Amino acid sequence: MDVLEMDGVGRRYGRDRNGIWALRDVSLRVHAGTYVAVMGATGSGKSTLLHCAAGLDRPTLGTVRLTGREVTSAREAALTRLRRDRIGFVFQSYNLLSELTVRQNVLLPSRLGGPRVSATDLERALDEVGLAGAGGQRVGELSGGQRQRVAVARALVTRPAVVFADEPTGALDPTTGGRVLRLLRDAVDRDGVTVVMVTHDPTAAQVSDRLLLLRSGRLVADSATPDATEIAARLAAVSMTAEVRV
Amino acid sequence: MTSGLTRQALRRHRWAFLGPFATQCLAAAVITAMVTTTWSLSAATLSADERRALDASDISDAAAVFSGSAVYLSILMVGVTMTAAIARQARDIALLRAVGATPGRIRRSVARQAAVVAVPAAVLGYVVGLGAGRLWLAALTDHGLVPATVHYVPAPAALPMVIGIEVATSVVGALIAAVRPARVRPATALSETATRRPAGGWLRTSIGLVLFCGGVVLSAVVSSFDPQAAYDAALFVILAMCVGVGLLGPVLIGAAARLTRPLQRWIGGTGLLAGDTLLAQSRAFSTALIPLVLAGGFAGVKVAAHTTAEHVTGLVDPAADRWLDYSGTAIFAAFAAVGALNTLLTVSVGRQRDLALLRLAGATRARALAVWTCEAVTVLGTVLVLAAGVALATLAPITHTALHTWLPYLPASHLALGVLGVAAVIAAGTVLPAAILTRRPAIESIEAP
Repeated sequence: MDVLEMDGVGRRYGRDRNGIWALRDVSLRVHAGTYVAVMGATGSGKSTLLHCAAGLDRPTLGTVRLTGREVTSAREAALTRLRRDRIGFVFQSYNLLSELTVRQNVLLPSRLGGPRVSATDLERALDEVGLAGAGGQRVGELSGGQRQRVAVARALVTRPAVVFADEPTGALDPTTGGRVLRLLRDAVDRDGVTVVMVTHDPTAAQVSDRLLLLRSGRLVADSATPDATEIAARLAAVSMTAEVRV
Repeated sequence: MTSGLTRQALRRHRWAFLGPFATQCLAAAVITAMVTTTWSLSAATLSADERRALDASDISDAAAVFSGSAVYLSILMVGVTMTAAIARQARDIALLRAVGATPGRIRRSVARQAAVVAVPAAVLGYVVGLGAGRLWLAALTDHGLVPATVHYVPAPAALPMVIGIEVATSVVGALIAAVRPARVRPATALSETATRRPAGGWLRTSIGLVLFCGGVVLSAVVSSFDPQAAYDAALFVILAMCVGVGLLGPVLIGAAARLTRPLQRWIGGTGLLAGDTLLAQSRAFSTALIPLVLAGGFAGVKVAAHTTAEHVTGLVDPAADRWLDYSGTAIFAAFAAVGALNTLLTVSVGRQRDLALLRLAGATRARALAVWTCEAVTVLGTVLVLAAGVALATLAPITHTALHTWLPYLPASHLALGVLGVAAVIAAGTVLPAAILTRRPAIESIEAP
C-alpha cells in the first residue's frame, strides 16, 4: 500500500513577480514500511517537499494523499487530526516544550486528543529510546541527543503510519546522531512504520532504503540507497550543476 | 485535558506577559477607583440640598464613562499586548500545530494565559485603585465638587467585581489577538528563514492617506460651521487622522528616516546606521506610533481647549470642569503609554541579537547606545510632529468658530511636560532596555536561544 502519493506538486512563495517556485512538478509514491531519504543542496526544496508531504504546508499546485486521505483540499481541522493520529514528526530543533517533563512531551499528541497511550506503552516508548528513568525530568535540563530521543519517542508512541524527520541529526555529533537514526530504522523494520527523512549528511542517508535527490525544486533522481561514498558523489553532482545554473 | 502550552508559555516567556499584566492592572485600578468613589458618594449622609447638587453634577456620569472606557481600553490593549506575547511563542505554537493541536485549542490556550495573568493583575490593580480612589475623592472635595462630609469607603465588594471584569475582558482581547497566529501554517513558523512583510502595501497606504487627508479637509469644512457643530465634528477629525496615521505608520517612519538623511550624514556612521535600521524596522516601530500620536494629539486638544479659551477671553474655566476633563485625559494617556511602552520593549528585546551583532562587529557599548538613541530621537520627532498636526487640525475649527483665532494657545510649561512625557516613554522602551541588555557580554546574547 502507498502511504504517501504526490502528484504534480508545486509550491510557490510570494505572489508577485518576485515569487519563486520552491518545488516544481514533484510526483512520487512511497510504499508502507520504507525508509526514504531526501537530499539536495541548500535551497533545493527539501524542507518544502517534506512540509507539503506532511500536511504542514499546502502546495500551490498538485495533490498530496497521505495514508489514502487527500491532504490538499482537507479542511484545517481534519488535516490537524490526520497529523495527530497518523503522523509523527522529528525536527532538527524546537521539537519539545522545554518547560514540560519528558513524559508530558511524549504524551502531547495523546493529550491533544490523539490515540490513547497507556502507561505501559509510554514506559516502553521511553525504554526503547534509552530514557527509561528520565520520564520525570524537565526537557530543558536534557542534552541535545537526549532531547532528540524524546522527540523520536513522541513521534513513535502513537504508532503512526508515517514519520517525517527534518534534519533529525543536524544538530548532533555523529555518535549521538547514529543512535537517533538507528531508532528510526528499528521502527521501520520492527513496526512497519514509513520514514521520510530530509538530510544533508550522506552517512545519515545511508540507513535509508530509497534515496530522492532534489535540484532547484525538481526531483532529479529516485533510486535504491547506495553506500555513503556514492551518495556523497551523487549529491555533489546535483549540487554542482545547481550552482552552475544559478 | 490541557496540552501544556499554557504552562510552557507562562514559564518560558514570563516577561512577555508584563504588557497584558500592566494593562489589566491599570484597568482594574481605574475601575476600582471609580466604583468605590461612586459608592462612597451614594453611601454618604447628606442634606437634601447637598444630595440634589451632587445628583445634578457630572461626577457620577464621569465615573461611569471612565469605567466604561477602562473596560473598552482593557479589551483593546490586552489584545495588542497579547499579540506581542503570542509572537514570542511562535515556535511552540508551530510545534503543537504540527503534532495535532487545532487552531481552536491554541486560541483557548492563549485565552487561558491572559485569564491566569488577569487575576493577580486585578488584585494589584484593586489595591492601587483604593489609593487612587481616595486621592480622586480628595481632589473632588478640594475642587468643591463634593461636600467635605463625604468619606471614602474602600469597598471589598469591588475586588471580585474587578477580577471578573478583567478576566472577561482579557479573554475577549486574547481571543481576538489569537485568531491570526492560531491559523498560521505550521511550516511557516518552523522554517528557519523569517519572511518579512513589506512596509505599507498600496491598499493600506491609500486608505491611510484618504483618512488622514479626509481629516484635514473635514477640519477646514467645519471651520465655517457654528461653534457647537464644529465642536461635535472634532471627534471625527481626530479619529480619521489617528486611524490614518496608524495605517500610514510604516510609510511615515520610513519617510522620517529618509527626510533626516542629511542630518544622519552630518552625524556620521552612527546616524546612517540608525537611519538604515529605522527603514528596515519601520513596520515594527509604527505599532508604537499609533498610541503615542493618539494620546499626544488627544491630550493636546483637551488641554489646549481650556488654555486657549482662558488666554483669549481672560476668563478662567471652572476648576471642576477642567479637573474632570484632565482626569479622563490622564486615564487615556496612561493606557496609551502602557501600550506604546510594551510595543517598544517588544521591539527592543526582539532586536537583542542585532544589538549584540553590532557590538561583535566592532561597535563599543557607547556607540551601540548612540545608534539606538538616534533612532529613538527620530521616532520622538515623528510622534511630536504628527501629534501636533492632529491636535492643530482638531482644535483649529473649535477655536476659530468659538474664539475667532486659528492658533491654539498652550503654555510652554504644558508643552514641555507633554514632550517630556512622550520622550520618557520612548526612552524607557528603547534606550533603557538597550543599556541593560548591553551590560552583559555580546556573545551571551548571540548564544541565548
